[in-house]
Amino acid sequence: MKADGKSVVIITHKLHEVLAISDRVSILRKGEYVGSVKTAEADESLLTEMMVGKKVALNIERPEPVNPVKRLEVRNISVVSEEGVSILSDISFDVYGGEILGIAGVSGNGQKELLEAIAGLQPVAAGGSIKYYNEPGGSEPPMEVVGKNPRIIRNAGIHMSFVPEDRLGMGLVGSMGMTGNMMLKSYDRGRGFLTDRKKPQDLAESIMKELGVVTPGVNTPVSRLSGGNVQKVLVGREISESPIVLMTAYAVRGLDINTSYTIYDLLNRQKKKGVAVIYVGEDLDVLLELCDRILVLCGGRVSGILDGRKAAKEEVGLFMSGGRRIE
Amino acid sequence: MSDIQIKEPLIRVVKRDQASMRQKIAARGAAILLALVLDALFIFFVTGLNPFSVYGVMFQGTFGTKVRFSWAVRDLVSLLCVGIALAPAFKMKFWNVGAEGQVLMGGLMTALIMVYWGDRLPAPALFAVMLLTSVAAGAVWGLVPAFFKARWKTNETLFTLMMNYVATSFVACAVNIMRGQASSLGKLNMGSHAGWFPTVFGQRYNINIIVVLILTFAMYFYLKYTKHGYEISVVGESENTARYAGINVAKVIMRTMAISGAVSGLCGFLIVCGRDQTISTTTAGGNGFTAIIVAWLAKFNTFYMALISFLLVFLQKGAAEIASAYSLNDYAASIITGIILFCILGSEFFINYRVIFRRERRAK
Repeated sequence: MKADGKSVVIITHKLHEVLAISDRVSILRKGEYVGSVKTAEADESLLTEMMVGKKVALNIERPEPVNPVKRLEVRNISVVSEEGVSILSDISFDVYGGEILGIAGVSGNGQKELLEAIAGLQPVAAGGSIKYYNEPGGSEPPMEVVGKNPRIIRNAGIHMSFVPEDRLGMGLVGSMGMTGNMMLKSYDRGRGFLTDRKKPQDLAESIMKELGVVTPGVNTPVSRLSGGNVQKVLVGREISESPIVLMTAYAVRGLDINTSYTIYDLLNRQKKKGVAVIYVGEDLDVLLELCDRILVLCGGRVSGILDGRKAAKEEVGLFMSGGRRIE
Repeated sequence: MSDIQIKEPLIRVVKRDQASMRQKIAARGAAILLALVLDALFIFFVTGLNPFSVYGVMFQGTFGTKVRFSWAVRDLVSLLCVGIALAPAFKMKFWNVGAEGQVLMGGLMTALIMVYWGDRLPAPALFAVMLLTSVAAGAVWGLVPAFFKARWKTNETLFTLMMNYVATSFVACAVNIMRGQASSLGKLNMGSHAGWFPTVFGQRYNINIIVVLILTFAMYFYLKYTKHGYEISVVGESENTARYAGINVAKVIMRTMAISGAVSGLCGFLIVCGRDQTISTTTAGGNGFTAIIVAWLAKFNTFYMALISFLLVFLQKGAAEIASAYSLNDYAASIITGIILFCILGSEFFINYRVIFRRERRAK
């Protein structure tokens, strides 16, 4: 179309797309025009700086895992949908504390169901087991997660947090403010009939300050916030539970670049604390930069588990489309 | 950029972030004023009456005498009580349109026990049994559709609606049995007054008013401050979120509908003991449906429900008064009150949305 003499305007937050396709770039920030540059003279860090208003380091950190201990042992997990379609078959893998395990795959190949199964939201077919190690190597036996619902998992002392894909439809209550959402997993704590709003409110205020959530107040419905702020509320709550296993599904989908890096940074900080982080992502560049190991799902099966430091993008892509290799 | 022609629509509608208290009062005040003006035009040109005297008469419908006012309050609490019963169900987005039947079942149990055990039980025991059975009957009537919804995801709107017809038939059947050879049922236990509420502050139905007042506070508190209330809000917003939080959705649906039905059943008990002292298929009098409007408009806040119930009862009484005072057609009176209701409901639009005219922008 460009060759035909037409004007083409594309709007995107994916910087490499802009750099690859456009001739000139105009940047808007918070409803204001910041400036235009010729694409030939621009690079990612310049565009990011203009978008965010300050310099942002664009490399994702990847510290070496320290003292990795087994936290989760997933064995032979199969999930069949309500319609009888097999979604996951015979999934087995381990997750270690202090590492980020990436899960790659073309969307809809069972990533969502896998995390939901671990979180107790998907019924797992007989024969599967998910063992959680509260005290690895200690005297305490591992705990079985399969067959428990999220509340029973919580009350059993299993410290698992889950940032689901559908933020407002599953992770949060859109019509409630931050305070109400902080209560979601803790409202039933404490004796008696009444809810305690004081502690959730303090938590909401501290998350608002620490993660820089932009909201008129802790009682403004979270559905009115922008996508990035919604995700900060959700991730903030999940991290505040001091998890031992932290699962995230498409944690940066639809977010601007600054918030995305904030999220990567938060995950890395959890990793350094010894948390076992599971990161389901769609951007292969990020997966390869962030994760220690990458599990590739294809058609509901594990098609490979790769070393994040050594794997090449093409290799991951091959496994995503059905190639197989078991290490 | 200023020379670029931008075609802007004449009127644009923008969602408001949040209307301030002053804006809300202004919008509603303007709505009432507009309604009165429109009504005045209607009254003057169609009926040829003096609008001011009509308004005066309408006002008299509720505030004319002390007795009239107390009747208005009596009807208000009958409506409000059902509204309170619907609040938890609707907050959970469970469309309970079966309050009519739940009220009838409660009233029916009360009436049956009043007739058959009225002279056998001492008064306190009689009231206790009537209260418990009517609450239980209402709860069961609410629980059945909830069970099917929780278990097999049946449509609760149709189910609760159908339950109304079943309840109505039960009542019709029981009334036929109880009246025997008489042409109509009339007041129950006319001689002994067994099972009638005692007169408090001059009226039997004052007990109803007191009970509903307590319920108004209790339901507000239940929905806002308790763990159950929180669960109801979460389930109403998204069942997935509720499951994610570990809430047992089926249990919450059934428990909440049992409560909703129980309060409706209690309402039937109050109506039979405190107001009618009899039962008929019209005991609920359409309140089960009107209360849906009440609950919705009040956004499930029971105190707003009281205000809205008052408005509806005031309009209804006013219309009846106008119709009889001027020997007007009932419909003419209904049009007058309908215009008022329309304007007040319409003002909600202006509270939620801002209307921007083209000129306003250009001046800026």
